[in-house]
Amino acid sequence: MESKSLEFLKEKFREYYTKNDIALPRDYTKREFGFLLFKENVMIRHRSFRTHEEFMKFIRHAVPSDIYYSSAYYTRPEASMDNKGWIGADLVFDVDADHLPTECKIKHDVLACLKCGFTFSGKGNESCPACGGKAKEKKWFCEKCLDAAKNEVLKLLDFLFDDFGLSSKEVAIFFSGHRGFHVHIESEEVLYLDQAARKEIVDYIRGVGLNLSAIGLGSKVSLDSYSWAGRIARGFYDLLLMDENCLKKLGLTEYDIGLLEEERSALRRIEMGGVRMSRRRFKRILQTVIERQSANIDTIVTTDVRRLIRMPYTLHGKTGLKVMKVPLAQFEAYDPLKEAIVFREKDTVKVRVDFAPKFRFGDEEYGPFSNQVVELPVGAAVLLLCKKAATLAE
Amino acid sequence: MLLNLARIARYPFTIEAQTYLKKIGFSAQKLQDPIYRPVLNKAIERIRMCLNDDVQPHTDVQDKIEFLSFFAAEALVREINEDYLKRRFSLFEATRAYYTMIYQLPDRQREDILDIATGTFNWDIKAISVEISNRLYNFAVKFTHYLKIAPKFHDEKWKLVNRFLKDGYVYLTTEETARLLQEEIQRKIESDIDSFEEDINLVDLVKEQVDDIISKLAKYDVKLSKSEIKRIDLSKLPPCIMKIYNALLKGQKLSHIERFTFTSFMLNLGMSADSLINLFSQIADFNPDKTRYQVEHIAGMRGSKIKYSPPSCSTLKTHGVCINVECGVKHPLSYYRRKLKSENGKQVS
Repeated sequence: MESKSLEFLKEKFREYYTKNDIALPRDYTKREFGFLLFKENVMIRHRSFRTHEEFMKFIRHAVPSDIYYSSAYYTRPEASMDNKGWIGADLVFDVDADHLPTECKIKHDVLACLKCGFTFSGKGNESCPACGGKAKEKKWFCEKCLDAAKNEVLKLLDFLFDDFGLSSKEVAIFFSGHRGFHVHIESEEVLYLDQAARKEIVDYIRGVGLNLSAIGLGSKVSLDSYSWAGRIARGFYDLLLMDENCLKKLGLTEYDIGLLEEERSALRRIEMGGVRMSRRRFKRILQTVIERQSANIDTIVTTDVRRLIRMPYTLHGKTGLKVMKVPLAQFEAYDPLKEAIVFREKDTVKVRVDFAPKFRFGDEEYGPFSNQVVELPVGAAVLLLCKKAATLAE
Repeated sequence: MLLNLARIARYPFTIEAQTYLKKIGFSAQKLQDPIYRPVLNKAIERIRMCLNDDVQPHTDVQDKIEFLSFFAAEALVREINEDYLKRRFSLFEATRAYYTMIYQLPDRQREDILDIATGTFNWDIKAISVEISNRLYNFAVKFTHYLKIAPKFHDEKWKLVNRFLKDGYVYLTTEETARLLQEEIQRKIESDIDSFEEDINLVDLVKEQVDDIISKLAKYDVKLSKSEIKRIDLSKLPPCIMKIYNALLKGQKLSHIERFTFTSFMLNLGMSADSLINLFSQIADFNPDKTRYQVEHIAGMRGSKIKYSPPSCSTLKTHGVCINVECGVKHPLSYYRRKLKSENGKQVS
C-alpha cells in the first residue's frame, strides 16, 4: 500500500485505539498475542502482557492493522511453540462466507492484474486476459454473503444448545469484521478438550462419518428423535415438502426426485411417527439432507488447540470494521454493515478507486466505481483503502 | 460414610478401596512380613494371569488375601520396572473390572458403575432408561468425559456423530459405559503404579517366580528386535511405499508427502539417514544439503527433535498416496509388521 493511504489508515486506527479501552479476554496473562502491522508483511508473535495498561500502551504505540490472541492458555506464552506449556484452550468456531457457495460471489469477487490493473472475474490462478500478467484475488462481501454466514451460525447454535447442552451465557458470538462470525466458548468444562476431542466435535457438527445403522436409522426414525437421527428425519421431511424446481437446484437427479415422489404419497406414514429410510436408494438424497442440516464451520480453527484468533473489539485490517460482540437475542436481525462501523463522522475524503462493486455502507449505497476519484465519508473511504481498492487522492 | 466392603473387594483400584487400605493401616512395607507371604504368592499368580491373556470375571471374592494381592501385585510390578508388564497388568485388571461390572445383576450393575464413575473418576453421569430403535440406554455421560476416551476407539459406533447426544449428554448402553470405564481404570492403574512411592524390596522374597515372569516377558514383547531392523525386507513393503520406492529408483520426482511418507517409514524401520540420502540421490534435481537437512529433521536429529511417524492410511488416502489395494491395515507400518510376524509364525511351525 502506498504511504499516504497507509499513514491515513494508521492515523484513523490510532484514533480508535486511543479513544477506546479494549477489553481483554479472560486470563489474558496466560495467552499469546499476535499483531500484523500496516507496513511490514510479518506477524509479531509470542507476545504476552501482564497488565491491561501494558497492552493498551503497546497497541496505541504500534497501531497494528490486526490484533490476535491465542485461544489457548499457556504457562509461558512468550516462549517458543514447544516450550509454552499448554494448559487448555477455549472452544472456538469460525463461519466464513469465504467457504460458503453463495451466488453473489460471481458478482463481487474479482481478479485484479498486478501488472496492468485490469479486473476480471475468475476462480483462482488465471492470468490476466489483457496482458497475461499475474492476478490477485479481490474479494468483496455483501448482505447475501453475511446472511449465508448467519444461517450457518444459527445451525451451529442449534447444535451447541440442543445437542451439546451449552447455555446461552457460555456462548459469545462476534462479527469477524469481514465476511463471517466467530463463536467463542470459554467455560471451564471445554478447556481441557484435546485435539482428538475437538475433531470429534467438528465431525459431529459437519455430519462427517455418519453411520446410519449406528444411530438406528436402518428402519424407522421419528421426527423428534435426538441428534442426527432426528435431524435426518426432519431434513428428509423438508425435502418431501419441496417442489421439483427447488429439489433440482439442490442438485438432485430425476431418479432421486422420483423416489421422493413415491415417499410423498405415503406422507401419512411420517405423520404417524416414522420415516423409513432404505439406505442405498436414498444415498444422494441423504447426502443432500446432511449438507443442509450440518453447519459449515471451519474445521481447522476449531480443531487446532494452539490457534491465534482475531481479538474481539479490535479493528479488522481489511475493512476498518469492528470485531463486535453480537448479543444472541439480536443475532438474527444483526446488520454488521451498519453496526460494526467505527468511523461515523460526516467528514469526507477524496479517494481514487481502482474498482469497487456497488456496496452498502451504513444506510447509504455507493458505487460501482471504476478508475475514478470520488469523495466519500470517512468510514466508506477507510473500507476501500483497507481493501486496497483505492488510494488517497488528496 | 458407609463403606461397601463387597464393592471394594470387587474393585480394588477405586479411591474407596485406597481409603480403606489407609484406614486399616496397610502399606506395601507390611508385605515384607512373612505373615503376608500368601498375599505375595497370590500377587504373583495375578501377574502370571495377565501374561496369559486369560481374563476371568471376578467372582464376589471377599477374601482378604485376594483383596490385598492387588496392591501387592502393583507394588511388584513397580519394582520389576518393565513398561510392557505394567501395561499388560493394567489392561488385564481393567478388563477384569469390565467383566465384573457387566456380570452383576442389573441393579448392582447400575450402582457399581455410578459409584466407580463418580467416586473415582469424577464423571458427570446419570442413570437413565431410554429405549431407541431396540437399544436400551442406561447411562448418559457428559460429552466432555466421553470425548476424553472414546476418540481412541476405532469402531465407528464410538464416533460422537453416531451417538445420541442430548443436552450435553451422550447416551450409552451398560456395556458401552463399562467399556469406557475400563479405559479409565487402565490408565489409573498405570498411573498408580508409576506414582508408587514406597521404597520396598519385595522381589527378593519371590526371586525365582519373578525371574520366571521376566523370561516370559521377552517372549511376548512385539517390538522389532535389533537383528530384524538391520535387514529391511523389501518384499514386505506395503504397496504404497513400494510404489514410491520404484519411482525413486527410476529417478522420478516425488511430491512432498510422498517424500515424507517414505522417509519416515524407512527411518522407523531402522534405515540409516545416510542410506536414505543415497537413495534420494537418484532423483534428477537432487540437492545433497537440502536432502540431508530434511531427512535428519524427520529423523528427529534437528530442531524440535521430534521423531516423526509415517502418516496413517487414512491420511495417505486423502493425499492420493494410497493406491487403494485394500491392504486391511490402518497404518503402513502395521502392514510390514504383520507380514514379518506371519513369516516368523511359519518358520516356528
